[in-house]
Amino acid sequence: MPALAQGKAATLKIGWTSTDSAQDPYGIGAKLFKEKVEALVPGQVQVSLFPNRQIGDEKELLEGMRFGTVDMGVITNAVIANLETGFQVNDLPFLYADEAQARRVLDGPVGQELKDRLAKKGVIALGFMEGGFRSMLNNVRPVVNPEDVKGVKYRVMQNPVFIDMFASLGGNAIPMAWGEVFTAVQQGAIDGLELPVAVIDAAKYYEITKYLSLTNHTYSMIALLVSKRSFDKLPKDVQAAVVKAGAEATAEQRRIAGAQAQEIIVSLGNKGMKVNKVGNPAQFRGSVKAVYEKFRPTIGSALLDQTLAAVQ
Amino acid sequence: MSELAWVLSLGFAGLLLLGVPFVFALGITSLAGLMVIDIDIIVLAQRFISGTQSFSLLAIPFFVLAGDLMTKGGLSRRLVAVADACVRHVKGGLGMVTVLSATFFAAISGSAPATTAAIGSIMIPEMTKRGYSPEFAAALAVAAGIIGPVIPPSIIFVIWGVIAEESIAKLFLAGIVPGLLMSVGLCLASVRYAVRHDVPKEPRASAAEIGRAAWDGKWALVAPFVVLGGIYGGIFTPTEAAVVATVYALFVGLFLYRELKWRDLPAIVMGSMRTTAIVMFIIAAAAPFGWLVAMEQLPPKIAGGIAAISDEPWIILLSLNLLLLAIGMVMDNIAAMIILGGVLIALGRTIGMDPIQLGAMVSINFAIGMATPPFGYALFVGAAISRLSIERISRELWPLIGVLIVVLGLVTYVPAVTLAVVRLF
Amino acid sequence: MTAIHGLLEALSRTAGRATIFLVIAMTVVMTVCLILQVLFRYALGQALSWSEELALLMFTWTVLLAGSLGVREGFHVALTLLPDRLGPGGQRWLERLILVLVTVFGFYLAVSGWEFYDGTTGQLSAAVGYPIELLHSAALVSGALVVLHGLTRLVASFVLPPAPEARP
Ligand code: NA
Ligand code: NA
Repeated sequence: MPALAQGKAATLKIGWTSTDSAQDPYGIGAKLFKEKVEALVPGQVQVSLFPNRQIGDEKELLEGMRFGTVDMGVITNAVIANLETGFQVNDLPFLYADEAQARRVLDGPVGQELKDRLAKKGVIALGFMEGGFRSMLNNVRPVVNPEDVKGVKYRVMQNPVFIDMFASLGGNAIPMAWGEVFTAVQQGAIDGLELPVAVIDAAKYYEITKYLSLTNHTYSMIALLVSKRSFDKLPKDVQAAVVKAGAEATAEQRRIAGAQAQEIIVSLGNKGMKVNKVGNPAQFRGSVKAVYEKFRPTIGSALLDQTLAAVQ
Repeated sequence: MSELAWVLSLGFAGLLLLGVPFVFALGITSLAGLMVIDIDIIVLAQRFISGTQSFSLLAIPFFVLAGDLMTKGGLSRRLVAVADACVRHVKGGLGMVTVLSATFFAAISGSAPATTAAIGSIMIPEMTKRGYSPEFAAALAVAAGIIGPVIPPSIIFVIWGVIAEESIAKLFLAGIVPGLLMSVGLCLASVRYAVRHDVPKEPRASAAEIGRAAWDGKWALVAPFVVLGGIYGGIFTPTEAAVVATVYALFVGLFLYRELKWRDLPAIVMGSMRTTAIVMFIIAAAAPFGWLVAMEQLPPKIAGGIAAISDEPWIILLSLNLLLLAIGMVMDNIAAMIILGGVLIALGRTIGMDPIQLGAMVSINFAIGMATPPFGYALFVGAAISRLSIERISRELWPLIGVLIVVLGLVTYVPAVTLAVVRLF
Repeated sequence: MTAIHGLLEALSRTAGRATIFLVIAMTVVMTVCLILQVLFRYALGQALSWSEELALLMFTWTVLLAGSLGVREGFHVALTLLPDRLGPGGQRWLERLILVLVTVFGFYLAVSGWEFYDGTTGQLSAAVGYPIELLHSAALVSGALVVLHGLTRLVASFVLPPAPEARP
């Protein structure tokens, strides 16, 4: 067996679906974890990295962790929410006011509750990392007030929270496969879309989109996850190292991703995008109240109220 | 090489040689691979299903169905009539009719065997009647069929777009000039044949005759504008364009040309879905295989091996193309593309090739594989229509494949051939 | 043996007919979904959130069902280098060997399909909210049909006189 030949080092395969560039928030998180855990228990564990959707999309990676066919992954909140619907709470539009608040809530009792629920499904959350806030970009007009969204065609992911959010704001939500979006914006088939700033930069949307409005409508949480089956097979000291490295990697990933988001916003402005902040965030949250109520049953009333109290 | 790598490579090759269908050779090898590295076989079902859950791949059944409906609805025949009226009086004119009507049909159909079938079934008997050898007529229909998936729309470009996560609309644009170049090259080959064998010329069509053919064929002639105009006018995605083309073909066949009957539709639909199932079941079965290949981190290793051949990118590209042509001779093109996708993308990054140009090069290479003996879908169709053996067609086919390979060379070494049109949009 | 073949052939034929009916019906549904998607976007300026996901559900089923039908009808493509070099007797035994391999594979696909179905129950799809079992049972059904059609042809190869037929 190859494991014996390499002298008993346990291997952990970690997958994510975006690139392995130095700016990618998922990649940063995975690499930090590798670095830290391999330093904590030298020679006892080896982490191999699988970026670029090499071993599956996020649904498959998450399923794989439940079955024990994939060890680890960095997975977007919305995909986890399909498995454990409590996670829908993080995707509620205009929920978190800023990064600091989101981190506080996710590190507190709300985050613990989510971890406990996910563990029951065979997946352990080592930490809640940061993909950055999602913002709107388009070619019609900057979004300052909720009315500015009206009548503008935005591409959205095929996810009911996003579709309902745009519907509540009077926008025109068009679900579209990611591969076709760039051309569609370029040719004017759609007016804009919504993305984390890091992705706007990486996918070069500044070349074809005029206005970037920092709507911060969704805090995109990305979770560092490990399969419970894989975790249980590890020796006790390696398990402890995995947990510790997960927490440390999460803290550092947040710091780096947060700083990077600010730099990217400045650079997008320099590359010609007209960047603006929204007038009054509370006004936006008011416009989408219906979405909160719609998802109350699947999130769970207690968890939703607990979260709302925590962000007041 | 690891134990798994041996199982995947030798197991797959052995099963293929035994005569196990591609789809099951992939499936059985994946199963064995999972057992060897002791991973739950649940991956098999998971990947079979996820391999088909792609909106872009959903274009495939509809591009197949649209092509079939156009052939059964009389559109292909009218395209041939237009080309016939325009060029039959030239030396080698009938050969050019085959090539040009295939070129036009290519702008509707996404598949090589469908193009060979649509045009070959009309033109092989016609050319044979008027002085061409049946072998050359069949070979020309097979080679012209390759234009089908090179000019957009194209099933093979759709699949590469999904594998490489590149814009399918952009990949389509990259195929236009290579497709037209193939068309020109094959027309010249027809002239050369007619001169050498002194094939008699046909009488010139009068202007009135040309006008009548064009008017009668107008609904077929506008079809490409519906498909491509829709995609590049920013109206639909390629998948939606495929569905619109299907509905258009249905409408024209049922109500304008009235050659389709409602009662024929179930059989036509089922025929198209059988074709789709051949392609898509292979894609589904290649998904667990591809997962195992990725898990072993084989693509970067193999790409590194190929890149180490030389410091000169042009030598690497030459070797790569020769390797792919050799694989395309005996392999199903879709299975080959999925298995090698990771390697090719990694290699493209290493030598710094534009991803759209790389995609066009790989797709065109494997499209040519559908004509190369001994295993090629367009070749099988040409043999079935002409009732000639593959060996007999092959002698006339190789020079025509040479023409297609010249175009592949231009695609490989002259970026403008693929990218100039992409940059226009 | 003949009685077993009679029963298997009846089952296989029925399954084949049901497959053809379902595949055609689902193709119609896919077409309607996508045409509505385009119409709603341009004529009514309103995006449908369910059309794509529903069409993809149908797509997976058409592929996995029609793929299994390929075993009954023998339309899956294979290399013929070895079979071409064998006599009729050798071809017959080779065909049987291939059918055994195909049937065993179908069995494992069904087992794997059952595990996948069983391990993911209770989830809903992202957009339409259909129970995920509707999608995840496709591999189980496809594998079971491969076994049925493969076994039927295997038994037939011992019972019926040789026919110049395509391979699986
Ligand atoms: Na085409
Ligand atoms: Na070939």
